[in-house]
Amino acid sequence: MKKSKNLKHILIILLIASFGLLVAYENFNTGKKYQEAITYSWGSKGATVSTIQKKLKAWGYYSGTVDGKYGYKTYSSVKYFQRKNGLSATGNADSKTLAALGINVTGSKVSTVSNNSNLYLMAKAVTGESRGEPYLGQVAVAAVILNRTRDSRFPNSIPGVIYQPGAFTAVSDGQISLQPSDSCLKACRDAMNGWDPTYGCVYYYNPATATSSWIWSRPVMMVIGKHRFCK
Amino acid sequence: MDKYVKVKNKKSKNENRYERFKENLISIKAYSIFIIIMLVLVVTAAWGFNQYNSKKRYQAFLSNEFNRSFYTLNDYTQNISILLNKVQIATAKNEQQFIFSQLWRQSFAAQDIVGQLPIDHAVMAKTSKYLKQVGDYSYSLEKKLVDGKSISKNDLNKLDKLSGYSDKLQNTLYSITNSLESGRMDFGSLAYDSKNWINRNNSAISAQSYTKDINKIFSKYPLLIYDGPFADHAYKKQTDRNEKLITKEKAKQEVKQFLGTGINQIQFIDTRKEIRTGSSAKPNAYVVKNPKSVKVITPTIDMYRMQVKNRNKKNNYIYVDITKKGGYIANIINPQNVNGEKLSYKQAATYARRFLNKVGYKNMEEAYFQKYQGSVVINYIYKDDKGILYYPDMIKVKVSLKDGNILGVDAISYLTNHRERKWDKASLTIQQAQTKIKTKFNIQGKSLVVIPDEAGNEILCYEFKGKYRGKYYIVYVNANTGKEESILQVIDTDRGILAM
Repeated sequence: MKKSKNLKHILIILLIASFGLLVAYENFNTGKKYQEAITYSWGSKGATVSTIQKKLKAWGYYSGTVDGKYGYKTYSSVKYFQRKNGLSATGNADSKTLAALGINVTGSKVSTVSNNSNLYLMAKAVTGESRGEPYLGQVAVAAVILNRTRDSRFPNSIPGVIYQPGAFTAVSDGQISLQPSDSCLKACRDAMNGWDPTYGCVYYYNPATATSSWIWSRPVMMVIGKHRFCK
Repeated sequence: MDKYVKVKNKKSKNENRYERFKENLISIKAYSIFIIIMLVLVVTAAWGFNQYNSKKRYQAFLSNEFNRSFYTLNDYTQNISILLNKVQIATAKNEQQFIFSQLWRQSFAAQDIVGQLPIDHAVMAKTSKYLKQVGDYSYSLEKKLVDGKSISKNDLNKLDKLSGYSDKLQNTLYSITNSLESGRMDFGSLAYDSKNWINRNNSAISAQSYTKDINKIFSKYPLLIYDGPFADHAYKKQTDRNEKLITKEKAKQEVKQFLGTGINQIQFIDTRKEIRTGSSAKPNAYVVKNPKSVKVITPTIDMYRMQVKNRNKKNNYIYVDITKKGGYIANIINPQNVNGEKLSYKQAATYARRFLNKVGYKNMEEAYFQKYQGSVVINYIYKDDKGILYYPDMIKVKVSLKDGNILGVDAISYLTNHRERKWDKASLTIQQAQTKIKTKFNIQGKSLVVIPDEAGNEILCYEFKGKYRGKYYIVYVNANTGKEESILQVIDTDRGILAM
């Protein structure tokens, strides 16, 4: 009887202590969230994964096919590479590993983007706003951003339009710090080359979630995916 | 007997000691639990206090940033008012030019700031438009003076009207300044509480009286028409070349023919479906009071939109827009990824040319191209029977460098600009125009072209391509006035030619 009571006491103490530690930990660790955003691991796909595979293959760490899919073979060869190069062998290509591979992750994706930092910024905004939309919807959102720079009611530049307070929920929420998806990057490139499936729209909203009566008053030109595009 | 008593006493003594020890232990435990709980509370309180301070710091920082922007906006607006007044009195051309140049600078700077303030877009959109048009209009007037023309009475009247708006705007900004200074309003706290001002209906700022003031000021703002990119032009529609409207079935047939797909893979996308049925709102979301009140407008190019299932991939669709008038391809977007390049630029261009001919876009000439990620985007412009090249009539074609597949077409410029034009014989010959250029410019190519200006007007020019100091340039000389309309620098990268 006494033993179970002691056990209960110990459990309570541990619970309270761990809560206290958690609180202190959170206070010191808010900065780390953004560092971990740029990591490729099992299940990742895309152009950068292809580049990782290409490089590892060239140096003899990887013997599989360069298919842009991060599977077991890629994982184990990344681990091997990390071990041989004094990095922590997690099998996940984090920013240190990518740097060791010679892949630039801060600005643009490897050798596929022109010297345009606006493109990367746009891709991040488009990803935040239309990640789950069909490709046409992603090009449409990118086109809206560009159309706004040419409209007298909005700021003149791409960063100006994207960072305008209240313009994009993804920006206000901080989702824009996450990495852009390959599909959105491609969509932005198409939009920058002139493709505009909205034929000049500058507003869009999701009728299932938009609550501002003002945006509902805008004349609608078309629907693409979840969004209505307006002038 | 004694022994027994002794043992009993000893036992009870030990028992007492043990009892006391246990009691002490329990009280130590109680104390320690108590201390640990107090410690945790102190840590939490400290963390909470830290967070509060940090929030206050952020708020102060944001508040300062916004205030700075706002006071700067105030300065610019004041300057604009003064300049607009001055221009009514200035008669000397160089004086006018100086004023316009300042107006342009101040307006654009002011407009830039407006886009940074945490105020409802619905309100600031009008202010932004006003400021941009003041700047743009001033710029076009300055250009007029530079070209040797003079400011008309009509222009002066327009400027006078603009001046009126400027004064009213200034007053409203002044009342906002008062609110800021008296502490009745604080940008920082409003911006920090982001949930509040994103939700426009409940935004504290939109409830402010000055929102109504700014709305009132610009409620009768007229359309400003002049030669500038931000003037109020009617949106360009598809040019009318007497084509007939095609049926939905015909559009489907065309897609089958152009893309070589089966009919079953083609599906129409109704771009107006949800709007007609009112709203797709979930039960507890905002419901439009009267569904019919949602305004619907036709796209600048009225088209049938279709999606074609890509044979190779599951959720991969090719999107095709076919114009209702004439059945032309307006847009093709194919998101297919390309792995590996096999074709040269010239080979890809043959595929593109073949495609354009097949779909009815004849007489197109290559202008420039850009490669990226396994595909190349080639820009084509129209060449008429006299050999004049028309840059406004432009079609872009994206070709895969792996197999020559057409991955994209954008013919909107062509469709909104292309028509038969008649040009009077140019006043200058090509030789005369050439004399207007810097003599050291090593000319390698010349042609007669039509280029659009910033306002969308078309200008007949001689195009000279050449080299100067190791860099490539294209110079456009007006075929009638001899004025240098535009100079472009050509950047030849390994990924293609970019004209900037």
